[in-house]
Amino acid sequence: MILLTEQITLEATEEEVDNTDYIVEIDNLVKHYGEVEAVRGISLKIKRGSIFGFLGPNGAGKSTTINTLITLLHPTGGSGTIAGYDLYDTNNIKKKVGAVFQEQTVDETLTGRQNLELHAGLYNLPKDITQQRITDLVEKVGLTDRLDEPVLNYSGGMRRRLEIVRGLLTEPEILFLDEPTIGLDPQSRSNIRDKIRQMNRERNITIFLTTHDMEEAEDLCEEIYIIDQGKIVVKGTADELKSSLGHDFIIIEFNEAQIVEQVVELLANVDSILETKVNDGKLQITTTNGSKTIVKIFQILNQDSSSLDSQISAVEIKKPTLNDVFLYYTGKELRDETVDLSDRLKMVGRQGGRSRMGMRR
Amino acid sequence: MATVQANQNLNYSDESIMHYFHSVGVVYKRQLLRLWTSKSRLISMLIMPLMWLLIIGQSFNNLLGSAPAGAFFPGGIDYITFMTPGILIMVTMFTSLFGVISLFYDRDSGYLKNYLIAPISNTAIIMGYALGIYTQVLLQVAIILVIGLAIGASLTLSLVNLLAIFLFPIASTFFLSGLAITLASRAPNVEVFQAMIMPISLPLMFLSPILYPTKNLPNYFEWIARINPLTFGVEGLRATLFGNSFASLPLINVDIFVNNIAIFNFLMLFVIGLFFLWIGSRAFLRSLIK
Repeated sequence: MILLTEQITLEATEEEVDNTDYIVEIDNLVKHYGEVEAVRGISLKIKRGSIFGFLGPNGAGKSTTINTLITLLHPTGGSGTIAGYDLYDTNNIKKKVGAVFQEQTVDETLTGRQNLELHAGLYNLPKDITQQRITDLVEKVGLTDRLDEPVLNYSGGMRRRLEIVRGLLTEPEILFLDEPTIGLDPQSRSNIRDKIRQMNRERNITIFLTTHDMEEAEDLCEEIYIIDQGKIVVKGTADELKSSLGHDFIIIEFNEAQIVEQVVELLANVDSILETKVNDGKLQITTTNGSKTIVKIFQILNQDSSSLDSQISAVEIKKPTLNDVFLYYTGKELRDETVDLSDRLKMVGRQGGRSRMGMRR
Repeated sequence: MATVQANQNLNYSDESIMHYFHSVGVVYKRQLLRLWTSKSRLISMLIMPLMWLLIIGQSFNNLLGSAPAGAFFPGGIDYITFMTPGILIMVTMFTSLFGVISLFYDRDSGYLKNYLIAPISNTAIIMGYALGIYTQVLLQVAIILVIGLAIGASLTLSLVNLLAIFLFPIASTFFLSGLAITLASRAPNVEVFQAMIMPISLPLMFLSPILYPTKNLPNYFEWIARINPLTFGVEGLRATLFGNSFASLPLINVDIFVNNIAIFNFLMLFVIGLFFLWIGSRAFLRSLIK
């Protein structure tokens, strides 16, 4: 009883102490088109300066959410702030927000420079600053030589880079990138990813990214939300999401295959191990947490008198991919509850801490 | 709070009228750049009025030339002279209606989103596009005037006449672009939009005194011609240039008001034009931002 009350108090204090700087803090965002409920109560918390991933199948409400955040749609309901301004204060939000859309929205009949200058004009950017920023940014994305050519002559990757430069030109506090690498070849994709990361680090611009490329999301995003049917179904870091599936694989190879049986026996009592299999002389372990379990395995093997750990020749941890996570959470089933992995993990950590303290006592 | 200084260079004087005009200017500048870059559009802008005046104008002029002076047109003016103000309004009509396609194209391609997320007024966007159309109209008016004079239209180029030659097409384009933008807000794509424009542009043209006096039209058509806003444009212009009107107008007795008919027509057209422009931009913006 006492413990329980204590925990509640602790949580309450933690809530107050949370002074992380969030650039987007949206609560219960709702957007209906007539009868269609495109977004059904989404809450977002995006840390300033982070790269935030927003994933979901087509028609999940991704674009509707983004369009509402960048003032292209009026929210039906919800509250919160974007870049310090109220969700409904669109005039001010517009000044702080930039976007690169999924479809190409540069004017191909004009040159790259003309496109950029017109955009700067919309934001009333003084001429000298415009020119200076164009020179800097264009240099960074390698478009300097082609800047005065009509966009018609640009390749798909170059157009994308021009659009990203345009998005950054006004130095928004948050830049929305809607599938920035869709339809590009692997070189351009990796190039654009590098630029995104670079801009994020150098200018501390928060990036709100949507993509169907799970590798990209994993590569770039500090935090990922997955949306399905207008609701957030799960959120957390890529690692949290993957471990949320509860299945990692550990594969251990030994110098001498016959000791495998001995190891299996030793590991029988480890809670986090769900299943052990011997396959082709290799030990394959299904576990709830690969990285923690492997430490445990080494500890056990090390403590054993025959120092079995020295017999290990190779170890591999296989995690489920983000693709597995995506398919798992956006499967056909309806899910009404949001799984907040970071909260769940925090809870686990807290309990762990408590028990250690208890032991010390 | 690392990026507090991020937008310090953005120099907004927010809701000020200067900022409004500045944003109209940026949208307008792009329309001009696009027009200038597209040489084929520039050439077709020049060729259309040329063909109408040279082919239709001269053929009709020869056809009617044998008739006694004043048989068709009171005051004894020839057909080229009669037709030139009509062609001004007609070319204005096509340029205005089809000019709205660029707004359409930008909506469908997504370019318009750049404007809609920018810190500018939404009506400033529409104004920028509309100004682009008005510029084309003014250029075409100048071209038609020169060609018309060259092939024998007898127009007196007094200051008042010149003013009328440019103001009536502009007032007409308020109405026409407003009408086209209203249609654009209802049309799901360019094909539908074009399909909507055709059945509207033909009666607008033929049930007005653009090519011939509407007095000779069957009764029911003549009544439609009376409330056709283009009638105000054409007849207001002709009244200024020739002191003569060739169509009956609703509500007023032409004979009494003949001296002021130009001003009356202009005001009618102007009010109708602004009304359509207002309806159009409201409808269009509503169709964009739900």
